[in-house]
Amino acid sequence: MIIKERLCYHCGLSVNYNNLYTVYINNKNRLMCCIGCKVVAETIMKHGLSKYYNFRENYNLTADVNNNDILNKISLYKDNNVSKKFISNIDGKLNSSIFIIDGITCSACVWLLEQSILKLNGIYEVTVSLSTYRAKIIWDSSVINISTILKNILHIGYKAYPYKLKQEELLNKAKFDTFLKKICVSGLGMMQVMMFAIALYAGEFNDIELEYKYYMYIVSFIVTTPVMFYSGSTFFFSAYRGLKQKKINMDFTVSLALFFAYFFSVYMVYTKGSVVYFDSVCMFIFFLTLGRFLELKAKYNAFNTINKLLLSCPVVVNLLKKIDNDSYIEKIISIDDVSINDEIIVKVGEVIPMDSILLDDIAIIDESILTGEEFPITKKFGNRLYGGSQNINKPIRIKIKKLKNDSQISHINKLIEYTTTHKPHIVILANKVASLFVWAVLVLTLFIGIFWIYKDIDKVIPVILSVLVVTCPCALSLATPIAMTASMFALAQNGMLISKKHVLEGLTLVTHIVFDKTGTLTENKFELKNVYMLNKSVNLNVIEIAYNLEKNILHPISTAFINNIENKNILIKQVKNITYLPNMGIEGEIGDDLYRIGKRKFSLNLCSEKFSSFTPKTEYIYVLLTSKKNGPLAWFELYNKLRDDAKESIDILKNSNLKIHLLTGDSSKSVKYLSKHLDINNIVYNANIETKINYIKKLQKNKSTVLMIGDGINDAPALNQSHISISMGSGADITKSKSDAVLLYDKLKMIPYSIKHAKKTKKIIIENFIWALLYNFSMVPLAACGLIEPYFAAIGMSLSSLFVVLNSLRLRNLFIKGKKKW
Amino acid sequence: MVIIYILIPINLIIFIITIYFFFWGIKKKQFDNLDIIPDKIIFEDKNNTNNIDTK
Repeated sequence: MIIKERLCYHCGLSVNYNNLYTVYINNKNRLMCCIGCKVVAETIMKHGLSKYYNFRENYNLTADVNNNDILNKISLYKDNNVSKKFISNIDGKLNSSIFIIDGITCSACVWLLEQSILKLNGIYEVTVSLSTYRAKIIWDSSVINISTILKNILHIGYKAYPYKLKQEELLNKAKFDTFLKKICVSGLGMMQVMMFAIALYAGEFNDIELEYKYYMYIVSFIVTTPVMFYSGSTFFFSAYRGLKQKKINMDFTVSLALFFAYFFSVYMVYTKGSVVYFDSVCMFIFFLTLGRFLELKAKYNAFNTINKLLLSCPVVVNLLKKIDNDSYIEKIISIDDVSINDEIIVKVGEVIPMDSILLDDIAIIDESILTGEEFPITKKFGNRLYGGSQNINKPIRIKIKKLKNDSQISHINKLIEYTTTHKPHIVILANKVASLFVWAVLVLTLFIGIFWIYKDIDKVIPVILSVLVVTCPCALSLATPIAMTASMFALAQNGMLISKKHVLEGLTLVTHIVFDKTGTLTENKFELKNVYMLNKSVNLNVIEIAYNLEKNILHPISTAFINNIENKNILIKQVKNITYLPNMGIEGEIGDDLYRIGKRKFSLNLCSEKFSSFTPKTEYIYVLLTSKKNGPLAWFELYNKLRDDAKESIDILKNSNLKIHLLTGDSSKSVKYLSKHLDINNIVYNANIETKINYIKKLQKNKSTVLMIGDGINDAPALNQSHISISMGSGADITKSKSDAVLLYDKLKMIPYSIKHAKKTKKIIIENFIWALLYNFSMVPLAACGLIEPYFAAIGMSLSSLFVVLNSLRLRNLFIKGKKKW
Repeated sequence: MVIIYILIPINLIIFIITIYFFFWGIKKKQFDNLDIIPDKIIFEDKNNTNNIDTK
């Protein structure tokens, strides 16, 4: 019997029947999946903005209103030192700032944000942009402060981060504006000159009086001149830059053709000759500029989507502030406010922010991002730690020694540079073909010119012009980049952020897909389902002990304990000598006793006691808490929910004949249960870093293309080894920054959809190539014979480029079986 | 047909004025967010500015 799944009205996730939340929206009680979505929906209704639900195009992000991490960052901005970096003062009390907003999916979101922020007291102006995910807000600082604004945005379900406009952004904006101006001038100019040209064509048939004919010549000249030297300058400068590098690029032929046409026409005006080509010049310039503009826009949009998250959040650190001789308090501050000799706590899995010295006795650090050294290094008290390396096994205290270069940010910046300058194989190929083509065209034109000098000298100029214009390989060089950026944009809109361009090509070749389990196929949160007390004689708060051991470790299992504390009375205790052994568990001293929590064997080793085994239920994971003094204390039953779209995604992938593999560090029966449910046959249990790497290497030996999807810290080396790596949006930062693509919103369904879209992209690029080559090769003989007038050649070339660009723009939307997006 | 000696220069003046207004619009950022304009009509917004004095 199949029961129809009920979905949360706000975010679309399935509803858990144990906790029924409802909100009355648009005449009906609507189901909500969690208290977060309920709060957000109620806030929207309270503000009288229910229209939002009528107009939105997609489900929202699941609301995260109580995320402590975010709330901490928000309260940071109350500090003037932090906020003054992002806020500019306009007029006395008025402050203005730009925010990046995470969670905008359509224009209804834009409307919702603008209207709800406007309702706050003290807000002067709000402008939200859909394509750049930015909001510009102007407010009166005596009435409202920035933290309140951010909190209100959080309450309607969006996350906002203040953003400082980078210099580069301003340059990009200026570039856009200049392009728009050039399009305007050339477009309007083109229309004017066409009007005059029609008079001249009509005049050819109807014997226009010479006086008026030459008048038309002059006005055409007057309008074309600014078009040529203002809008056309783009191509001249580009050709000049190419020549300086000893390269002839496509803009060289364009400039050549333009110069020929323009100066020849000027000569005709001067000598009162028979024909002018000012209309061709304007048309040529207009269509080419339009094409370039579209390409720039597509690239800019993709850039914004990728940057949105990577550059938006300020990085924060846990500063240890000394009060007196022996006691410290922890304070969260922005990375920009760190000074030399500050002491900082770095949690397990976090990145060391800057060059520093280790203050603890021993630490295990992964320096692979700097040295490529795959296995972690042991550091001792006083050793140097490098910014960008990662803390592996226990929280450590470090002393900052060098403030240079926010290593995490500079690493991310390098990533951005890489994506914008690195050209994928297919673009390099297209450019090579285009430059060979240009040479061939120039030589051909020369021969044709010489031929016509002997045959009919009057026709030399128009024929040369037509040949140059008709053979412009714009379609080739223009269309592929547009196709790729449009494609990446569509994918980014749906949460698949590709940062390396080889991914699109690579996705079409994938044969094997390797999944990690925890955090990838399953959610990266664990729920504490049950506690089975083993030692009833000792009066200990086992949950409190477990919480204190787990709280400084960034591991999915810790989430089960950390997220639970609102319900119980848990005290924070001091834990000494805390150690995390990957895949095993955690050990630490609380009070005068030593505890271990983790896998059965690991925990039992502490108290060397045997006891009767416990029959676990297959879907759950169990960790055991033991104490040195009192032996085994309790089993914690943890539930790791399978992602809603996991089964569907794997089914679609299997239908496309892709082999699915599961590699997991887990050894519990829950893996078998999961793999049966998902129908995966290739499984490796208990895999550590080395096992994972070797497994992938083995697959690659058989000439297969491997795509791996993971999230955790110990997935990073294996991800590196695969041909294509995708990390989950909720995964560790360092894994995300090392992988080729990031899956935002953790929508596993995007994986098969991305593969389909990549295949469609390849198809369209091939279509473009074929069209461009067919068009050019068929037109050249016609132009060489003098059968094509220059203006006609210009129209043809423009339409051909336009066709190719529009064909590529089909990739901007992800259409799946007739439904837009998901 | 002599009239074109007057009409075309007037045309050119309008041409220059149009370009000027286009440039002015670009400077005033009217061309910044073109993707949401169609939807904005449906929402029937009041403008997105508040006068602080009235609060």
